[in-house]
Amino acid sequence: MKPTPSTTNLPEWLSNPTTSPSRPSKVNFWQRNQRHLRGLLNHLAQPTPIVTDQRWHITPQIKLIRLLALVILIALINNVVLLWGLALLLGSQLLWLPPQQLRQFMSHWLVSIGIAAIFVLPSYWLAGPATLGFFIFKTSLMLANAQYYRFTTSVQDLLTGLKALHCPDIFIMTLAIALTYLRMLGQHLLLTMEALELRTVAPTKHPYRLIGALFGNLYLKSYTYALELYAAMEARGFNGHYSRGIASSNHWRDYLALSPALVAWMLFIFWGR
Amino acid sequence: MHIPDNYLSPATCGTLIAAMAPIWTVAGIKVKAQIKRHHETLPMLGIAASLAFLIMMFNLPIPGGTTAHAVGGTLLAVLIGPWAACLALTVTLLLQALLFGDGGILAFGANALNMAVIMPFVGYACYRLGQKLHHEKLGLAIGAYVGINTAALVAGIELGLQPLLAHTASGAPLYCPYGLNVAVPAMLTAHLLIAGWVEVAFTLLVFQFVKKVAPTNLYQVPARTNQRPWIALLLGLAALSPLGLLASNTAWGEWDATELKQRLVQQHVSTSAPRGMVHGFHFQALFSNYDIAGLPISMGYILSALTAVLIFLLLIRGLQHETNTINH
Repeated sequence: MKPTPSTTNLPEWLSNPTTSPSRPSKVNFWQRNQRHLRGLLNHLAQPTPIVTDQRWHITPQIKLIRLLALVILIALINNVVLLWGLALLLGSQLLWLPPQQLRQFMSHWLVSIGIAAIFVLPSYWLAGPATLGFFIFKTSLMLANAQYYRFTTSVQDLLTGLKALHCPDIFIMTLAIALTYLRMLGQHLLLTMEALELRTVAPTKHPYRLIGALFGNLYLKSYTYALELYAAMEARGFNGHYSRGIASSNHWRDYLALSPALVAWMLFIFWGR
Repeated sequence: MHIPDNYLSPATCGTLIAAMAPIWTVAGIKVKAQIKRHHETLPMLGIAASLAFLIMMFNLPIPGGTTAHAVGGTLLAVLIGPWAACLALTVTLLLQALLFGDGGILAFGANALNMAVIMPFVGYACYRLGQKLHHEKLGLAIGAYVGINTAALVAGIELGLQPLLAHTASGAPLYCPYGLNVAVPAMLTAHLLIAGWVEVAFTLLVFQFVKKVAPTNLYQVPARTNQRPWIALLLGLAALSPLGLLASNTAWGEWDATELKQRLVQQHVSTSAPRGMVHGFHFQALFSNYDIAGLPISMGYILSALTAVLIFLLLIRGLQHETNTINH
C-alpha cells in the first residue's frame, strides 16, 4: 500500500519557524545588579589573602593608629618634599608585598585614583594645573595608605584593633554582625533575583514594583535572622553584658613600626610648615 | 554622596567628628533603651547595617538609560527607629570606608553627619508629621525626598566652604577646589532631579510591602516618657537667657546702620553704611531688643524666652491628636 501524500499543510504558525524576540542587547539592570552582587559575594567568600609578616608582627591597634597618623599627616602637609618622603616610605613598605598582591594593589589603587580624579578634573579650568596636580598627588597617597591597610589587615584584626582602642562594645558587635550577615543577606538577595529572572517571561512593565517586594522580603528575612540570632546568643549565655577581652600589651616592635610616622610628624611640626 | 579623603580640610574633618561624638553617645543610650523593650534590636543593628550596604549597592534604572542608587536612610529610620538607623548607617559607612574604599577615612565624620544623622532624622520627622496628619505615605515620600536633599545640601556646603577655609597665600585652594557657587548647585541638581526621586520610589515601595505583609515589624514609637526633665531644661535655659548681656559688643552681623558705619570707617572700608540698609524696610517690633518698658533688661529676656516656650508648647499641643477617650 502506497502512502497517500498528505494534502493538508501545517498551519503557518507551525510550519514557519518563529524567532523568539531577541534579548535586548543592552544588559538590563537586573543583570547588572546580579553581576555586582556576585562580585561582592566572591570578594566576601574569597577575600584577598592578607599579607602578614610572621617575623615582624604588629598589633592591630598600632596598625590602625599608624594609618590614621599617616592619613592625617598627608592631609595636613603642603610641603612637596615631605610628601615625597612619605611616598618613598610607603613604596618601601610595598616592596614586602608578594608580586601578585602588588599587582592587585596597583590595579585597585589606580581605579580608586581614577574615580577620585574624575570629580576634580574640571577644577583645572578654575585653579590651574599646579593645584590639580598637587591635589591628585595627595589624594593618591592617602588612597595608597588606605589600600595598603586593607591589604595587610584582616577583618578580625580590624575588630581587635577597634576593641583595643576602646571603641564601644555595641559598635564592634554591630560591625561584626554586619560583616557576617552581609554575605547571608547578599546570598538571599542574589537567589531571589535569579528566581525572579527565571520566572519572568516577559519584560516587566513596572520593574520598580518588584524592587519593593525584593527589598521588603529582604527586610523581613533580616528580621527573622535577628530573632534567631538573639535566641542563639541567649542560648550561649549572653545576658546583655559583653565580656572584656584580655588587654594586649604593645611590644617594642610596635613602637618601632610606628616610628617612621612619628618622625614624619616631627619633621612636619619643626620643618615642614 | 560619599565624600572621599582630601576633599575636606583636617580641621573640618576634626570638627565634624567632634560634632558627631555626642550624637553617637545619645544614639547608644537611646538604642540601649530600645534593646530593653525589643531584644532583637541588638542583632538587628548589625543586620540593618548590612541591609543598608546592599541597598546602596543596588542600582535602579532611571530615564535616560543610566542608573542611580538609593541610600535608604529614611526607610531604615521608619523600619528600625531613627536612633538605631543612625548607628546602623554609621557602621555601614565605616565598613565602606575601611574595607571597600568608598568614602574617606578622615571624612568619616562628615559622611556620618550627612547620611547617618541628617537623612534619617529629617526623613523620620516628615514621616511622623505625615502620620499625625493622617497622610503617612505622603509624609514618608516627602521625608525621603527632603531627607536626601538636605543631606546633599549639607555635603555641598561642607565641600563648598573648603576654598574659603583652607587656601594658600596666593588663594589657591588646598582641598576641594570648588566654591559654594559650584559645589552646592552640583550636589543639589543631581539629587533634586534624580537621586531624590529614586529614594522616594524605593522607600515607598519597600514600606508599602512591609506594611502590607508584616505591619507589626515596623518601628513602633515608644509610649511617652516622663517629660519633667525636658520642661526643667527649658525653664533652666529660659532663666539663663540673659547671659548674653555679659558681652559688651554687638554680635557679629547684628549691627545697626550707625554701628556698621563706625566699623566700616574704623576698618577703612567705607565712609557710609550701605544704602540698602539705611533706606531699607525697618520693622519696629513690640518689644524691640527684648526691652519691656518699666522692667530691667534681664527680666525682659526671661519673659521673652518663657513666652516663646509657651507659644511653641501650645502650638505642639494644638497639633496633637486626642489619645484618651472620655468616659461618660
